[in-house]
Amino acid sequence: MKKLLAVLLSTTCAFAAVPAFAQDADIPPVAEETVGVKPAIDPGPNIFAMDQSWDGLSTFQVFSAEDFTYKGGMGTGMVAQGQVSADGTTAYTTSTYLERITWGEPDMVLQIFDVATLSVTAEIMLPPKITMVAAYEHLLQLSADERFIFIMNATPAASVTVVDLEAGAVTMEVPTPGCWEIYPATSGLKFTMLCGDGAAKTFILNETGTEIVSELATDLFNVDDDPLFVHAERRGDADELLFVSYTGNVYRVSDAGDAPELIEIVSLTADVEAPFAPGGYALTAYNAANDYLFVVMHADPYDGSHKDAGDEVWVMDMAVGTLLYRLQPEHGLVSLYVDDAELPTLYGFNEEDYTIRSYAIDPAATHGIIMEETGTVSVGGGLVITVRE
Amino acid sequence: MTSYIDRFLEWMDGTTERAARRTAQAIGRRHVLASLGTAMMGTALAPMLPFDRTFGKAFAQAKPVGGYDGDIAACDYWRYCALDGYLCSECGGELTMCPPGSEASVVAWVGTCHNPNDGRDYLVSYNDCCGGGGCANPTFCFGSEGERPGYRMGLYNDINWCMANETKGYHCTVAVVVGIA
Repeated sequence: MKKLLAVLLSTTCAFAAVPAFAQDADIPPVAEETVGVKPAIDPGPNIFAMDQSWDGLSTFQVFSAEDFTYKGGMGTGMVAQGQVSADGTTAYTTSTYLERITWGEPDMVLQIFDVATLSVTAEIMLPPKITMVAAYEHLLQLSADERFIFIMNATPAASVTVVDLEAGAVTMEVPTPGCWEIYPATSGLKFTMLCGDGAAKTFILNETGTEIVSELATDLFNVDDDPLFVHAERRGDADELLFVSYTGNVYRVSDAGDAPELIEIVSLTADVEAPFAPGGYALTAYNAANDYLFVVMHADPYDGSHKDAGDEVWVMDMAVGTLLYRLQPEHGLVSLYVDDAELPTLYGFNEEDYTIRSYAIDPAATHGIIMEETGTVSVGGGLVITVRE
Repeated sequence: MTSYIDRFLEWMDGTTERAARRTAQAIGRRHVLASLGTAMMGTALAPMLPFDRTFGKAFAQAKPVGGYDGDIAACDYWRYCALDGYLCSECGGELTMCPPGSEASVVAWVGTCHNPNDGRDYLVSYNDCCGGGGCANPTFCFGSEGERPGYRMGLYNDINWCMANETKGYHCTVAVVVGIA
């Protein structure tokens, strides 16, 4: 033992002496360095993806939409939801901080981040009711003018907390019994929800977000026979929401008026012989330039397969309400995002290997490849993908 | 079966509904409780529906004397048809019992599962267990038979059902038979 220690000691001393000798003789002095903090993320379009944790830190991750370089993350509490302003400069999260991580008094907080610096700029304490649920886009939504933000609650009774972002304060809680997810209108302080009796219901608030002016429901769907997914798309700038049902119907719903109005139901699968059905989480994406709705579809559906990854992505031309393309990505997807370009970039989340993948879509191609995988990045979570220029 | 749950959930939602809707839903509540009384195995089960705050105590039991009627470590075990979570039986608990140090959620979601052993359909309550330490490498099962989004809250398995407990941290999930569908 003593011999071993002696050998180790001599060896250590020898190595330690070499750099000092070499530096003195051959290497110019090293410039003094200081520790610092990178002031901001690199510029350019960003992909936002919530890495949601149920037992601790959730992180709203930011990647370059150009080359998938990781830019950093915005740390927040457990079971977080995220949202980003239209201009991509401000991010919002709601999450829960338990006093003792898994138990204790809950702090439920709306946190506002400056995206450039990935730093919290404000925090607003919320009533301790926010829903603790997997990441869905329409659980945390900005009003059309982005002055207010709507937050989904579940105790499990459902309600919506309204926050005035200018005042930095909660203005009211809207009781929304049996109704779920928030689809803000294109103007005004107004949102629509899906309800357990098969209705869609529109809530209109006064301009200060302190009172309900109107709440009107319209029968929309059959919850047992043709339930709707709660992820939805707005059809461009139109006062029209697009919902997809478990069986493959697309519901076009107007939210222009005081009450929702069903415009039309069109089928994705009517002309397809083999059994297919929609499935996933953020399972649809809408491209305004081409008026295309992308939908994740899986073969051989069964009761309970509605969250399965899709083997295909189907493209519906909403101008005529017909199925245009059936795309076959190499990897099964559960969530989508597409930009508004004429030659769109489609993003998909692969739940099996936790990657976000990008695809170049060429609507003009008549045969062959119109969907080409162009990039991939490993993520902690990507049930909701958001891209901002 | 769906109608039982639907009506029960409508009643639950009615507790926060406006006065104009209360009368109709009160009728619905009485009706559903009466129906459940005939559908379930004994009146003691009636309080154990989702959203009841005494849930989990009456039916808590150790391993059955005759053994389980299937492989409870396998995600295709019949009771797990709508279970989304870690198996408590691999976290120090049992099929119907939360691990020591945790607590059973006071609200829960339900599934309707077919038992191939007797050919009958059962209502299965999935209670999350809350708090406690992290579980060491448990099996995660993801069944969604009959599952619906949050607009049918009692059938929704994406949400943390520890939401109504003081201890809100999710630990694992148990599967408790509460009646015949």
